[in-house]
Amino acid sequence: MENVILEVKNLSKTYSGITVLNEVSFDLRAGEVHALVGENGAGKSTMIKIIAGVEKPDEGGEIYINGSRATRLTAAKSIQMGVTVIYQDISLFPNLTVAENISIEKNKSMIVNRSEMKRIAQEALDTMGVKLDLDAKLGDISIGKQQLVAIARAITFKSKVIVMDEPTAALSSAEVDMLYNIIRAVKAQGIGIIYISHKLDEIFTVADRISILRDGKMVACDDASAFDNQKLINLMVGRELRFIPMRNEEEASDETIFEVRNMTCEPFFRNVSFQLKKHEILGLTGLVGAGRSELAHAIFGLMKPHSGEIFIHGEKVVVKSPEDAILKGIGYLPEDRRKQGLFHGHSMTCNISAVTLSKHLNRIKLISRKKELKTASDYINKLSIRPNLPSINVENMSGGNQQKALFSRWLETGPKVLIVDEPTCGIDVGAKLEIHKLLRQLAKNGVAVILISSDLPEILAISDRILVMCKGTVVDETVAGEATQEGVLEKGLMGSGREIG
Amino acid sequence: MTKLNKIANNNELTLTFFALLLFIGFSFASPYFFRLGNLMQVTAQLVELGLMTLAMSASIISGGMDLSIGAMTSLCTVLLATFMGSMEMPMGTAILMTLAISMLCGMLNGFLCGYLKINSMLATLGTQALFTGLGLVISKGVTIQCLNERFFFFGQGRIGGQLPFQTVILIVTAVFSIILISKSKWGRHVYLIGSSSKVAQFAGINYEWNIMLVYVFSAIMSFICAIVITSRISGGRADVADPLVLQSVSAAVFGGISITGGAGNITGAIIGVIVFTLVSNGMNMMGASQFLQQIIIGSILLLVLMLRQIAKKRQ
Repeated sequence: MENVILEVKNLSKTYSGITVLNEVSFDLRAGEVHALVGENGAGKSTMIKIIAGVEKPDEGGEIYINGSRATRLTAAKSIQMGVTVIYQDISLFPNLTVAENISIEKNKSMIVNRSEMKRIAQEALDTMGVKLDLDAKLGDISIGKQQLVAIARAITFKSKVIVMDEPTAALSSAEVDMLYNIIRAVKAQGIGIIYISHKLDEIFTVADRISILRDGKMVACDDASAFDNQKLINLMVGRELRFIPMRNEEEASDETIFEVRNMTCEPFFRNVSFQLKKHEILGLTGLVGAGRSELAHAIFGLMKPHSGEIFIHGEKVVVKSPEDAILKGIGYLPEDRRKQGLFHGHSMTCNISAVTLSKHLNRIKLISRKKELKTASDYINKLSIRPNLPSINVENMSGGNQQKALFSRWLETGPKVLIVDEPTCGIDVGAKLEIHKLLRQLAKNGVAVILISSDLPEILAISDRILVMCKGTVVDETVAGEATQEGVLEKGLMGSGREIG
Repeated sequence: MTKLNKIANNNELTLTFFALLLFIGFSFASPYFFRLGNLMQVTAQLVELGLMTLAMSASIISGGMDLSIGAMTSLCTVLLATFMGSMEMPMGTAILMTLAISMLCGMLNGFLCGYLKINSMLATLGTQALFTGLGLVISKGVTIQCLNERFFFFGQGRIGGQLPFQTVILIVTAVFSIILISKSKWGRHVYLIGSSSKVAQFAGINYEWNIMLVYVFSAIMSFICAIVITSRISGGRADVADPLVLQSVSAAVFGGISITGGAGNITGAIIGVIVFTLVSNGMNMMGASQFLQQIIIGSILLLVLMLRQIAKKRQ
């Protein structure tokens, strides 16, 4: 094992009781491209954040950069030790020129020396074999070129390790080819690259070795030639089915209770149509960024679609705002519990009643604490929310219970349509099961339930029909019994299914 | 121990205790402090800062800050004095017209902050200059006299020869505001928006309209404050309420209202006003200079902020 420039041993990370990285070991050799793959939530980002010094690992893990042990890693220390991470939202200075961005760290003297800056920048670009206008403002050039600037900067930092997180997400195909060339040039300098991507064809083009993370564990690591498409997908998904399938036991109904026709909202999604029959749960999946959440936002009135119609129980509805959507019976449990769902610093009671305050007023139109408390207690019993303490600050509740409180918020509105976006993300298996039961119960009671999830076993276990989205279009619609994880994943990754709608 | 912690964590209780301590301290330190006449004077001195703090608190709880309340109040004093003075309007008409104009000012703030979503500090910094400018133009930069005898009652009248009428105004307004902000649907929405405007948006809370109401509320409080001031000084001036703006921020923060929005309550802010007023009056009675008072008030504010930060870190 000569030339190992980054080594990680037994790295674990737990967020409030939930293990997202479990004793992961990983190494990177000089001059190689090591691809890191896995489903959403497999732990890739967490691992990178730890290496970059942004997150602290649990006790017991070890990180070696260039042979020396890195303890108490901070972001600054990580960069200093030679690790550069190029994030998806490239973190450069849009108001500075290309040359300034590349040489910013190098310029240690008090006086800005323009010709020296340009020389440093040019040198880095030469190593990569790229030509760029050094005086162009960074904000004025394409994302693809900005990415090149980020790589050039990593070279001037004398980085030994460059991490690229979905580097091609915003690139045109010509730019992708250019990136491949640069990666080769960078490798030749003896720099190791950790390459994160969802796109399998890309991985087989650039990677020397591939490591696969699944549910926070490293499940395989081998030379790229040892894998093929199918094997990779199997390894990414291949866990035992953790969920008990819960399908519609009611008689199949022909009654369409919710329908979306030809909805388009550029640049997020286009021409999306689907129907939801009574007692059905519709699963909506695809990669992050495929347009799933945006579709939900458009239905809920957070975003104005360019075209398209919505029908609830056969009646056409026009949604002007979230407030309006709630009045018309649409609920949306958002994807990001922390930033979009919870009112931090407020009690569970207050979080539950936030949307339905009008139902909790007394005779003189003031908020009735008694009514609020009654609602909260009802849901605490019904959904067995723990702790049984309506006044608890939501920040002090576990993820699963926070999510149940948010469910209570929406159940209290008595929705006709409930869109739940990644409802079981980051919560434990027990709570997941309870939420699945709840969704099934809602569907049974005639609520149109749309489940958005990246968790394929979840989608397969509880939805009756599955829509797969890829790059803003619905690429596949299958009946749950016929779908397989591999099939759904393949369509979501490649967008190779038939176009419908 | 836990009980002690609970008491220490109850912000209003701690502050009330602090105010009481000051009260007792000054009663012993100065022979002039604990007299009915002076105590009534203290309640009268509370009023203007109290009303300004009500105006300021609502905007801070909503996650913003209305810096234009001082200018708005001053403009209203100029308008009241002009309407009743040189224009010789009846008192009722003058009051209603001023109220209408102050509400328009508030709606302008609400439009900028709520509908256009301009950062509230910047927007109200702009309107503050605008309102001050309008006041200066109308008053030509001088104090405008207003000698309507009936109007003097608002800021100079005493009920039963003792209780200042302005104190009654503050009590009624404060109780009304406390109920409105802590118990009404609008008040709750203001807290939730202040806690996170993004989460509020996902919960279908109408940001634009609720924020509009916040700034109209601030404007109405400023208007009431203007009535008291105009009556007290028998006139209006375009910069008369300016010093109250930052004092009201201090009082609100001292009283436990979170500067980042969404937390704290009006009762605490009012206790903050009481503490500040006690310090200033008590030190006057002891013959201490105005300059020294500033130092003491600044120190008390810093002390409370430090203690709170330390308590937060301990948790």
